[in-house]
Amino acid sequence: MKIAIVGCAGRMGRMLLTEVQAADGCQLIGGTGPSGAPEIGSDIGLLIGPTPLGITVSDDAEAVFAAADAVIDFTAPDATVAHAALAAKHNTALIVGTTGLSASHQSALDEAAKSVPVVFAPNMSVGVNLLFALTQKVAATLGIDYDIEIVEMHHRHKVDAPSGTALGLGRAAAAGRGVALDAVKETVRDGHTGAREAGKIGFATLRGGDVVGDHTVIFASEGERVELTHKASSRAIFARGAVRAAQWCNGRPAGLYSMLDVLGLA
Amino acid sequence: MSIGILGCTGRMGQMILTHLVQHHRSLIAGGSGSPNSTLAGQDLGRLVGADPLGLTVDTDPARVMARASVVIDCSSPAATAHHAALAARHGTALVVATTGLNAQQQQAVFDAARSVPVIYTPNLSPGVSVLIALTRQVAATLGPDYDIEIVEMHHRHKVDAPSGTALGLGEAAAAGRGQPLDALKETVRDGHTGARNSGTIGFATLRGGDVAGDHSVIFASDGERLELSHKASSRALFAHGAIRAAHWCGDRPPGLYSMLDVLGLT
Repeated sequence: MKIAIVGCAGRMGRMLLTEVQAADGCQLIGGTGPSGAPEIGSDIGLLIGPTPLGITVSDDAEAVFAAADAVIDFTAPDATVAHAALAAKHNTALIVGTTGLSASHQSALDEAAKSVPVVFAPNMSVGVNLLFALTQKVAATLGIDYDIEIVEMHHRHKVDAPSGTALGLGRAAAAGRGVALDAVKETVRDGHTGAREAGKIGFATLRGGDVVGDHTVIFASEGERVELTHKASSRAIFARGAVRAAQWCNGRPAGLYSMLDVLGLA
Repeated sequence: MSIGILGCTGRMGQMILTHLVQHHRSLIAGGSGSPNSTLAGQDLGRLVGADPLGLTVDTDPARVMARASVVIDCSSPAATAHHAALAARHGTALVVATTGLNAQQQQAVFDAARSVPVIYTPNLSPGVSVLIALTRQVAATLGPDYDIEIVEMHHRHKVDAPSGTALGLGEAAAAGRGQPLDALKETVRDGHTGARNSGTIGFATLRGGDVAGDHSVIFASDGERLELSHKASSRALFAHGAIRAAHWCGDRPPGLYSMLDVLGLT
């Protein structure tokens, strides 16, 4: 299976290159960077080690989509929208790990998913996706007496809050209660907030150091708390999950899929 | 229905009695305590600082069982084995809230379940029961690449280790992997242990202060960890759980049930 990485020169991009190279049955056929980036034209192999691969970092995303069976995208929302159109045009499966997508960004993925398989997951790790499934189940079992709070911590470079994963956990919790997250989401507490409103789902965001990504969902009642936690210690788990998703797309019909589909947890 | 409490002079017994006196006064059939207890003969209402009930702490559990349709047992493991046989003879449903039973004492409980409904569960709180169900599911989903470790902390007065709940979580994890816990259990690490044996389930026990009961199950792999935790902040929770279980089992057919059955999680 021919796989390409858009945004291959960044931190996550290099991780993805390494994992594609290591995966059985995958052939790394290309990678892109933004026009004008210093890596354009340099050998992709040299981004991840001492061995040249004979393919260079390109700024022509269209050519890369035309040549690949699947493209993995961990770039930025606007770039991802452009990539979604290219995927549909060239019949290329698309794996999207980009976070911070607005509703209009996401509708571009919906559009592409009419003609090609698209896996969209704000977090591609096995453990986090299991956490999504557990959160929905516990929210449904424990009911409204248990206040739901979601805490996340990431490294100091992260620019969006709460994390895409935290919001995904919130959606899972809301789904377990049969409500929409937007109706119950509470992301800001500052000043005289008054007592906690029953049924809300609260979010707390921490930023600092090099934390790869910690998420905890707390169900707190009188007398007890249940806490479900995921701690990522290496970004390689996201890259590994993305490559697993790309392999899973092989021969799949068009549609929008999640990691739960890929892992058989849906 | 009418509820008797065996071991009503202990900490847990008094907690259950307090709740019943406050909320279900008319359901109280009686309470028993050890013949050596200075509280024998004391009025049950007075015992928990309420108005007199006209029932006193009985030193004969058989008399309590003759009056009750269900008894909650929070005495001691040896007494529980004896009470189980009595419950079977009197046709009284039994909720076992005692922990630390040895194999022989457990057998007495299992024997009783052939003639009366018996709820025997490592922990009576709803949250812990949810945790047990999740632990089994996650152990089955994640597979042996994820090392399983169980950490618990309790107050300084607790005399058995690991806690009954920790062992219950271990059994759930082992069941998720399709094996008996005894084959995988690792409760002692001291000195040159060598590297971790793959597939084992490790236990770590902490004791101190007034901790009502914290339990965490950790699934640790390369690059990520999933942690499922429960924190009890009040023992009243166990009292509520025991009473909920007593209500549930009153008119069940004979058999051995757990809190998972009470909560509909099986």
